[in-house]
Amino acid sequence: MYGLKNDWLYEPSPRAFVLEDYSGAVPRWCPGCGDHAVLTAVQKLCRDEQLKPEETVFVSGIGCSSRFPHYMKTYGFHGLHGRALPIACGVRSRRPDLNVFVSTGDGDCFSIGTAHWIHALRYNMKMVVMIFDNNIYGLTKKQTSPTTAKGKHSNTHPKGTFLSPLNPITVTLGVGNASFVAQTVDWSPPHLYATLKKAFHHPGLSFVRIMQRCPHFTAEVFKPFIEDPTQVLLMTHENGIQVEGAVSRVFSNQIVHDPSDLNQAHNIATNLDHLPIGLFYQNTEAERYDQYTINGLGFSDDQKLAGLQSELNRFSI
Amino acid sequence: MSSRSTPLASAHPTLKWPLGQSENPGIQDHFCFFAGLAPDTYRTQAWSPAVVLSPAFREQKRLGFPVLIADQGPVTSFFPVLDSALEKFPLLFEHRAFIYYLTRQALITALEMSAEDLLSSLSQKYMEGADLSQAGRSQVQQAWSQLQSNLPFRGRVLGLSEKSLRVFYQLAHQAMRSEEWQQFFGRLNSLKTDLEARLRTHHMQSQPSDQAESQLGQLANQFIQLGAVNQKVGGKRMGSIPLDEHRVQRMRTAYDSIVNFLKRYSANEVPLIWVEANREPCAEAESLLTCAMSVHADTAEQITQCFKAMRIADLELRNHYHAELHDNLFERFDRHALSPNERRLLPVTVIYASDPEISKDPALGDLLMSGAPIHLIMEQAVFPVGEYTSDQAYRAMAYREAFILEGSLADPAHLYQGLLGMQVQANPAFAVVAVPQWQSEEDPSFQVAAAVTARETVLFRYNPTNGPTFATNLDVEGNPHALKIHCPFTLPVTEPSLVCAFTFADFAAFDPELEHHFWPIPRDQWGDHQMVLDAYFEQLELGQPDKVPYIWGVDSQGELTRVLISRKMMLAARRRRHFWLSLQELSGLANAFAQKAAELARAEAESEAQQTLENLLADHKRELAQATEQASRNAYRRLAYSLVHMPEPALVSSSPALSPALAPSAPSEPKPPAPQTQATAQPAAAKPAETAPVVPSGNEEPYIDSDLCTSCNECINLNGMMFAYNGDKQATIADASAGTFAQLVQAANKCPARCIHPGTPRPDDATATPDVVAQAEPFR
Repeated sequence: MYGLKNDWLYEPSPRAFVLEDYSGAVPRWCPGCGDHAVLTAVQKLCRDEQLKPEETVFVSGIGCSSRFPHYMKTYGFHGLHGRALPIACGVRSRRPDLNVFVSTGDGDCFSIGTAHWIHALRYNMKMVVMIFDNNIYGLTKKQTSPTTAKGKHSNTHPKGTFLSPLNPITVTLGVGNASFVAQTVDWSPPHLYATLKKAFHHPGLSFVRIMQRCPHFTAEVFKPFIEDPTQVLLMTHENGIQVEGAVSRVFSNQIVHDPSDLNQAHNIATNLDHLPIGLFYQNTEAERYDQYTINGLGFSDDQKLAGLQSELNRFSI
Repeated sequence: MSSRSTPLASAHPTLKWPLGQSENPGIQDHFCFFAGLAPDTYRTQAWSPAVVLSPAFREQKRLGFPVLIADQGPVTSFFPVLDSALEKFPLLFEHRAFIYYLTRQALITALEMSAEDLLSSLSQKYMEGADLSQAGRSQVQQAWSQLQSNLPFRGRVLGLSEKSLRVFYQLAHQAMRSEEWQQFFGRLNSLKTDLEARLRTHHMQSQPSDQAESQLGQLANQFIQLGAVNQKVGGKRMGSIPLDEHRVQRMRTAYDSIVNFLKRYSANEVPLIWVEANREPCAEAESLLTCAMSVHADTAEQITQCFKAMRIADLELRNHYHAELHDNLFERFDRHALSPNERRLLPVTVIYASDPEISKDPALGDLLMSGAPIHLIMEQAVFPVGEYTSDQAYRAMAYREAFILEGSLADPAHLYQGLLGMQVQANPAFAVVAVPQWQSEEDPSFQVAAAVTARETVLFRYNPTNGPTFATNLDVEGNPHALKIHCPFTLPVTEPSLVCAFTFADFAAFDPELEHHFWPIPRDQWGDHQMVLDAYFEQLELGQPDKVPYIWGVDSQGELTRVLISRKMMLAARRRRHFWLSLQELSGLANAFAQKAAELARAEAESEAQQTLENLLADHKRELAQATEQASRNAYRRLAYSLVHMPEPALVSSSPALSPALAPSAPSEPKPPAPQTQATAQPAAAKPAETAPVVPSGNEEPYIDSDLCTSCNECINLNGMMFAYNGDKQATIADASAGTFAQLVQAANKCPARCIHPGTPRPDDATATPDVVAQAEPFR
């Protein structure tokens, strides 16, 4: 008998989510690790945006950062090394209704996943990509990554790294169709939170490089910036990352930068005298590949088969 | 209407039409009763029911007939199928209207035909009727040949006629039972052959060999070996056990019974026994249903004997017949001993009767509870409408034992499915089928379609084998707009279009016999005291509306007009409405109990969510108050500390008047360490920092700038009692006394955000060594 089910169906009442609703497994990151700060900021973002856990997915590759999906009580996909972005693009293509986040690291994204990184930027599908950049391979215990500083002693370069590090910001800014490029630090929770929030509301792919302390292997790399906040250059603008006064007072070294000014963004990113944080570039009008991939999502199996058949028939003689 | 001296509006104040009021027997129950008009003055203007303006309703008039009953598929309308086949032949497609005409003509005489025969007939008639050139004739002939050789559909085509229902039933019966029947016949033939062989073998064994040889002759014996013949005709290992006289007798009896049955019935025609009033064998019977039951009992007895013979034959052929056991068993063998599969092979007795014949027959209940495969089919003409429907199918459903079908020729697919459902039953089945009044001027298709739309005919099936309740057994699928009370129709005469409900009264308005129940009123007499019928019913359920119900009509100029209805018509329409509401509830479509339960569950869920939200808000408010209090306390403490540690000369020099003012607060704070350079100048104030670390006096509580905490777990791991996360998962001092000052300093050192401020040690804290105090200094 049909009909009974209709009677019993009703819309559940609106739910209110608290921080615990997003807390998954207990994090196994080392105490003092900057990843904890990112996790907290993301959980607060989810709570403040009241994202439904069942409509949120975190995709990761391999590395310390990529354990992130385990610690969120949402859907997650712990993927292959360097392949977080193509998986996320796939998720976005088929499930545009989900909130997609990507957590990846400097080794995962800038080394083995470089090709995917470039093309994901170009596809500009709506998602938040968080790069946990600790300048080292931490999970496998101190190997040189593409952003490891020159001269840094590591297990792969015991006598010091030969080459200067890759600058991910300039690379990203150089990719056509990159639409949101930001950089922040884990040790300033308000700035980190504000950056992720801005990234979440961006209509395309948001590339957020998070300078993340590794207390065991690269503690000395970030120590100068922590102890002397003036070495950090805070980019401010009405269209940039909006932070409260306390953060502005801590990072007194500031520059007004319009996120639509790509040339100045390049200049700031290229200047290595300071560690710039804030929004380098944003273009909300950039093309998005997921606007094309959603075509045909509502098709039934029969419709798909009929469409395929009609395409094949075009080649019939 | 203009000649009337008493306008309806002025009659309204005296208008009383409550349901409980007794009718005035003198004026019947016409609206004149309340309008104050003489009975013969109504209906002065011509009008039609407004539904005729609805395009959707006109579409609905086109029913599926003729229908195609596919060999292995559902019932579909034939013309769309034919169209899709003709599309490949433009010559024929152009003349499809003519082909439709030929199809209808062919089916008038033949009732039903196979698709192949119909196409062949159409081809022939077309060639005879079409005026074509020689070349055109050749092309058309070729097109017909191609169409017939590649026929895209198979099955039987059935036209709409008085005999449609009977043909429908026969087709359903053959479709569902012929396979089983043929298998049964195969089994009978197999048993017959085996019995023949066994008896022949016995016959040969029982004769002396010399006698056999003498019979065959010496010559024949050279060519025939009896052993080989025995083996051939036996086919199986028969004959090794000699038969006694009783066994031979039993086998011969069984054999005769089977042979008689095979002669009586045909494998290709499933037996069907029609019983009708005034026809043999029940022409003289007082009760048609009782007679039908006795006819069925006779037929069942015959086939039961055949089943008995089959069982005996089977046992004998396998040498499993034990006289002491089976003789007694077969003596008492009757139709009640048949298995369910065997009962399904009992010939169906079909009673074809009209409503009055069944209504007055007292044996209906006995028949429906008999458990015998007797099918009762009742035709019910929907036109003229009448004012009372017997609802025989609904009443029969109350017995809860028989399969019940209420169908209509308006929906041939539903009807055929229902008739197929009857065939799989081993129990009685009762079908009430709405048919048109063939002699009426009204279009037969329209009659039955409108009856279904008005809920006058409700399509439903009740299958008692589905489960124990109405919700599991009753299926009202197939009714238009089944979730609504009335079917809507749209009138495109207003802007926006007027959506009306098609009630029983709208349907009855088509019947000229009932015109005295309707009264069109001119537009200048429309008023608020009139209410359209479906809205009137809704008001009626809430109370007694002080209104007069009307339906929409259209006058001779094509303008909408209101048509008042009589109280009797309103009651009849309400009866049909309640009938449909009951079926909706019984079938589970609109279950009032389920709706109440859903509302209750919804209210509980909303209440729970509201409570959770309130709790969250209360928690948030409490935490906010605590944080505010803590922050103000810290601020005051730091302010006091700063003031206390401010070099005295500066205080004096900058604001001498403040010095006495500060004095009252000094006793509450411990005295600052005695500065060595209290009386000296400002530069000397830096000296204490250069000297050995000194434990600062005063009581500065430790605190954390929680907003800067990165949640890195360092402090929590150090002392989970002293440090804890707040609602934002950022660290706070949970209990400063739960740890030592050294731990506070260690946590401050480890904290990457440098947001832990250890304050000053407690006087009794032994860990506050000068070294530790010196480490704490940068964080203060």
